[in-house]
Amino acid sequence: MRAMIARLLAAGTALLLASLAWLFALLRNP
Amino acid sequence: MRVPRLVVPAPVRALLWIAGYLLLAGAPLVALLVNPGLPGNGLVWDFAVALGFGALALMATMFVLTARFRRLTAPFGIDAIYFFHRQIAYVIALMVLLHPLLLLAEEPLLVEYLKPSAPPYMLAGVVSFAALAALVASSVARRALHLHYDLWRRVHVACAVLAVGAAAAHILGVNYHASTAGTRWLWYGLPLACGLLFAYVRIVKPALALRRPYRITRVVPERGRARTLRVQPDGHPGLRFSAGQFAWLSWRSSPFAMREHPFSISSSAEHTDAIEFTIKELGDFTTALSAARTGERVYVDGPYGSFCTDRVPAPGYVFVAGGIGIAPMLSLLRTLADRGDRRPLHLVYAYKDLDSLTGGEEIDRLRARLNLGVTLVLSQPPDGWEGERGWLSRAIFERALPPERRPFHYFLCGPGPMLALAERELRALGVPLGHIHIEIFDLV
Repeated sequence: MRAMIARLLAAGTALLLASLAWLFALLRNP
Repeated sequence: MRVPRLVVPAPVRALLWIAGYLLLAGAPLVALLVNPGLPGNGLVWDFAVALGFGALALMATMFVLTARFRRLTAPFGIDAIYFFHRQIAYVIALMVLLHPLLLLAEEPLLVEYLKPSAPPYMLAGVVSFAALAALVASSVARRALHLHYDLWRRVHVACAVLAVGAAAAHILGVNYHASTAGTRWLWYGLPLACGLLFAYVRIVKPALALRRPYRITRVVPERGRARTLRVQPDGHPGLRFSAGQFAWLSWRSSPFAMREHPFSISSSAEHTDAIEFTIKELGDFTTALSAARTGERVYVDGPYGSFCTDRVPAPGYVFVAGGIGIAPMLSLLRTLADRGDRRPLHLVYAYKDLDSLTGGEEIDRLRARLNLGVTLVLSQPPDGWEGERGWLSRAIFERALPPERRPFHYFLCGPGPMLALAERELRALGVPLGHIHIEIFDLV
């Protein structure tokens, strides 16, 4: 259970950072 | 007037820590987003650059995750934190891999910047990449590479420091998204924060441990190439632990030496004057530990872990142990016995053979003090054995467990493959996932 939550959280972190990185790129290249 | 202490429930604390973690991980990129700035260099290029920034931010969070802050780790269990640390490492590896690949796809001429003649800040990027690759490879394949645990830890820490330092040098050297005052402090601040955490973990904490030594006051040989070490605090009150927790033990080395190993506490949490560890000879350190003598000094970093019945009140508990996974179960059972607990308990103990059964006599004594059923599952049973044999299975659990087991909670500890099997079979039996508690002990 805790391992599953840890995996989900890691995936969520990856998604968050990828989204922020994409947003960073979008804002600089309108 | 006494101000009532604000008690935040564990799930809320866990959510707050998770929110804090995401904030910390995302902060550098958010800071760059709000920092008005420099012209763009194309969507893919800037995305690749931002992946690099994000990877460094995640690397920095690793120093927090592994600093063993008890307040931070308690709501999750430190084993889950280390497991998360490994998952995040894969995320970082992917981001760090994509960073140069996307940049090279955009500008193939960049390959010139990967040669030894490249400017130092580019070499710093290559060094950071290589350190991270070495770090991940040495962790994933430590056993396959026959890398000694102590040596692996030193390599691990050295590579981590190098990866962060070199990555920050790379960003500062490229000097594009670090050229304004607002962004520059970020790339100085991140490695500085990592350095402070590193100093805390490697200098301050060991120095504090030095002032809290323990002495081995008894060494009891156990069956199954195991022994129980009883240690007592030497000149300080010692530590209070919950049954089922574990601690890192340093023996014949200074707390600065990074030669500590995690072991489950096997004694009752109701007795705080001494702590016992029941340890099986499984590797270099545990085998060397057979030379441990009464009177020797040890250092204890703990307690950690959330493998505790006290955290999940239930009308009954089932303990599933494999091999030396019996150690935390002994602590849980002894503690419940000392409290005069009369709730129904059942121990399913998977072991090789009867002759070398670790803790066998103690389990018999505990049966007399508790409402405890015991099922032994032997993989090499003696002739004439009429009990359970082979691998743990749904059928064995069905025969072993009491019919009123539905609201019970299950605690599983043992070798990885056994845990996976036991969890699957219990799930097949209809045990809810939230009722199964596993110590994720297989660190590397």
